[in-house]
Amino acid sequence: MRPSAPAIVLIALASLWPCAADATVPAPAAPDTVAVPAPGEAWRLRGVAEPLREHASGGQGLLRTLGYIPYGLTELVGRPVYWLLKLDETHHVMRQVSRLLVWNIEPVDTRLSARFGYESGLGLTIIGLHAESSDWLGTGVDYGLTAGYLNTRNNLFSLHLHGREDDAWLSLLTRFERKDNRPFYGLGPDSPDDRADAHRQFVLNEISLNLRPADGWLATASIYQRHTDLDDPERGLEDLGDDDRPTVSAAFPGLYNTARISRYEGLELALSRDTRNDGDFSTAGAYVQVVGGVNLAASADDDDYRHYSAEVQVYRNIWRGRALALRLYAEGLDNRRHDRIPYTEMASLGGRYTLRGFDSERFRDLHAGLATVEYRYPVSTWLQGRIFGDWGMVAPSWRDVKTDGFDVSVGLALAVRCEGAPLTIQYARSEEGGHLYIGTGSVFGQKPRRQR
Amino acid sequence: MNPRRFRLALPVLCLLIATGCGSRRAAPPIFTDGTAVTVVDDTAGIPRPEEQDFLRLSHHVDNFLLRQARLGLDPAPAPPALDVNRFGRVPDSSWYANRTAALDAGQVGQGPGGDDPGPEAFRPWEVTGLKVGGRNPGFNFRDSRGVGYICKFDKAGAPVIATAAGAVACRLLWAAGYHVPDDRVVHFDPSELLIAEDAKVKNELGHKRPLTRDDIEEMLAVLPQASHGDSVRALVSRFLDGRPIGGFAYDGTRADDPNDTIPHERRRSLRGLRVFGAWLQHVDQKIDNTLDLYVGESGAGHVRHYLVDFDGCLGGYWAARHEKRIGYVHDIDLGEVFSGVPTLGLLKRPYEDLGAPDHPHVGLFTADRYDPADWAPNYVNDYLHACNPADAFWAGTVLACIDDDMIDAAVDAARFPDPAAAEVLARALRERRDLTVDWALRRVSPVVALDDIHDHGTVIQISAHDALGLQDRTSDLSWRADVLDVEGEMLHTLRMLPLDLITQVPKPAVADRDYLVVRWTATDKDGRDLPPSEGHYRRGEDGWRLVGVLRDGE
Repeated sequence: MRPSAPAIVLIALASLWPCAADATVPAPAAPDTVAVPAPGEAWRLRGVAEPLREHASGGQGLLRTLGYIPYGLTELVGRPVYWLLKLDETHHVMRQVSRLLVWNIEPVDTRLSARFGYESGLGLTIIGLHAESSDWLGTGVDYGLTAGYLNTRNNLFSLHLHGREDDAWLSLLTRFERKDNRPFYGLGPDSPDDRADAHRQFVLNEISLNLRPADGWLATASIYQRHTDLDDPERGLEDLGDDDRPTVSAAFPGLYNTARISRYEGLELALSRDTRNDGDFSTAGAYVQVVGGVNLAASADDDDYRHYSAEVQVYRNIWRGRALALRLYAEGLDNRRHDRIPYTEMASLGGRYTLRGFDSERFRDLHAGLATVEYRYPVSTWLQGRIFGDWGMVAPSWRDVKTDGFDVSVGLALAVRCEGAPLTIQYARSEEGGHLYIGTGSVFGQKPRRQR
Repeated sequence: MNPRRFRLALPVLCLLIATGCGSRRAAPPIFTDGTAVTVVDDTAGIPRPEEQDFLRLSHHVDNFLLRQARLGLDPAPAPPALDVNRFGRVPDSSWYANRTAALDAGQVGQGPGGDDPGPEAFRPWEVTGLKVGGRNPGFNFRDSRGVGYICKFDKAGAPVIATAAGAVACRLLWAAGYHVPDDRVVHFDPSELLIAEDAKVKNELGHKRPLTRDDIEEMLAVLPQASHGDSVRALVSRFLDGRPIGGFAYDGTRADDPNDTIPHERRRSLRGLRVFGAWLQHVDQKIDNTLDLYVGESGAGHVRHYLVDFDGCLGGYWAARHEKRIGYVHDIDLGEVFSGVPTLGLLKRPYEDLGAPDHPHVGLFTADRYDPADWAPNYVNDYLHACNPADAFWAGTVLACIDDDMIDAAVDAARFPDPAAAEVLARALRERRDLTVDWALRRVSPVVALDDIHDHGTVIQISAHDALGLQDRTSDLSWRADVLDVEGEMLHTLRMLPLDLITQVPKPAVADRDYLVVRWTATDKDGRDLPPSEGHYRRGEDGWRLVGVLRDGE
């Protein structure tokens, strides 16, 4: 880079100039030292007869006064947070609390913690115990054990053993979930928008072998057992104030009877390749996954079936970090008999990871297809804005998929880059209303089918 | 007053108070007769102040939300600085020393450590503990003299950049007058390190255990290494004399230091860091990177104020990421968010066209697209925000004294493995200095050497110099001088050609006056008037004498 003419002039100036600092006034023969001024008296150092004017006046004063209104609101919101954090940092309140709730059991290399929480909406107090260890006793195994009591309706127990992610590792998962008031909408693309609820109890046992044959590739073979029980919520709905919501057995008697108890054992193979350059904030690369599996019915009322899915995510930089993310997803079951496949085993769309403008699991059928386009633009290095559209459809067979049958949702999102996983705030709208999602993790990062 | 009328009048009264109606003063401020203060003795003995921790989380909430909202929504210019003498200069104190004019390049190259050869001459080193705080690895050690140092390294993926930046910026800020520690680049052989008997390290559960050689090797294993054989490149910072009591705040004063009577946001010495910070890309100016030290005997000591940690300067901050927005916006910038979200990425940011660094051992530090007016530090800092035109002018005059030889000498201290890197950095520093000086001086009418006033027969002749064109006579400014009396009444006005800053006032016009104000206004080539600068003069027994200087913002 060649310096410009003004730069050369200034370089010359700087080198020739004796020193502007002294040019203003000749240095006195002896330093004129004064004691530090009293508070409020520092203006006397200036040698002026009275303090210099310092308050804004006229239009600036008016603007300043107006500016205090939004600033005051910011103070109102932020100052209590600041005080709380400062109190915590000065008195280590959370550390003291965590000492009561976290125990390091060094002989067995385990950290045991108690967890409390409050879930808005239902106002539940979550009580849980979590035990974890990484590289447990030097075996290279990470494990996490969680037991949660949410209330009589929502409970969780899971044990996850996980080998160190290397070229090959095993993971084991046992999970018990009881969640009440899961949505039940009926089958097909034209299912009614009246929601019924069912209590759902779910048990999963699985063992997975994970292989990383090359950089970016991941192959997973899993064998699993899935037990799903549904329960008609005839009681308790009054507590939620939704007494006009139909019971599932009345609204969908056939589906409910098929799905009430299902037992499957299965094998699933998955292969994926990830060439994205920056995870969920990628501007280049792709993620491709194909999954196939067999599911053997353990109860005589149900049929065996095979399932398969394919997903492609493509990221393209269109201009200086502004990127397009395209996601195509298809999932299908090869059995064509609705009455022999439990409703809960079928493919579903709706909710945070798929058709975001609709309720979770809003649409179910044997086949599901989804296309998502997101325009992602950097607001800052830590913040990304997003505009998205989701198009999705469920159908009894691929032949029934019609271009005019797709359900659509559109929305806006902000993604905050955090350590570990992004924090996203998404608002999506569809013909059935709007949905707000706040959570961590990739927006395309739904759990594997067997764990849903 | 009728209560109803009072209620009606109240909003009007508030508005009048808020808008400051009637507060504007027509007459200029009056300087008393006297000499300029050159030293403020703020070393009176005081009890040792409490150590203040840097509380990162609450600091960030306060800084990026509350402070940013407060400063961003206040349209009023900052009030005049207070640590200033009658000529607008900053006296020496525990905050600042006027050393720039007295330094030569050799002294700048040596830095605050002077002719001390540093710890490389006093081996072996004894490790006393691993570094606590900050994002990067490091350790504390004593050299064979027993002098303590903290040792830091370059960031992963960015060899040389941060260590070089730390050594260079430290010297240049010291040359500008700030108190800084003796930071220098060293090379050492890790196998020569000894471990002190009492050296401890904390494990993951927070329990202390003896430091082992494995701990040191584990720390060194992740470091990027420049090519120096088996030796490791590092930046060492000599422990400062005194007891650390935490950093100094962005605003206000330290309640338990009676010598700290001037609010920090009213200190020109600190406001000037806006100018030096822009020049050096010193974006990481937060409380944690300042340090107050209690020096002297307990109970009779005083506080001395330092700037520390300069490895984030010169593109060293997040060096491996070469993040282009650094220096353009705050780390969390509400303006960036509020303008960026609704514009859907259509708004082009000024930094988007920046290219890659010119050398792998120099961070993203360039004069290309550099505009000091748009520079922003990572943190919302009251004293940087308060830098008004008069403060910037002062800093600009100091910066203009740092010549090319000084810059080259400071860059030599970086001990770059590749001489080309030194040239890249020195060139960027020179070019950014020139741009910064030009910007800072043009914040006001850049008139200096105002003390030249003489009685010439029938006229009083007052002359001065255009700071932009003092020597080479290439300034593009034309000038006007207005002569006023103590009441602000215009006595005389004269337009001048560029650089010939001489005005002559007929004696009869000032015959019965003992106080004159000469208001110099420069007009740039676009016809824009720069804010005026004023010289104030008093008539004494031996004639007229400069008694004070005021510039815009004061």
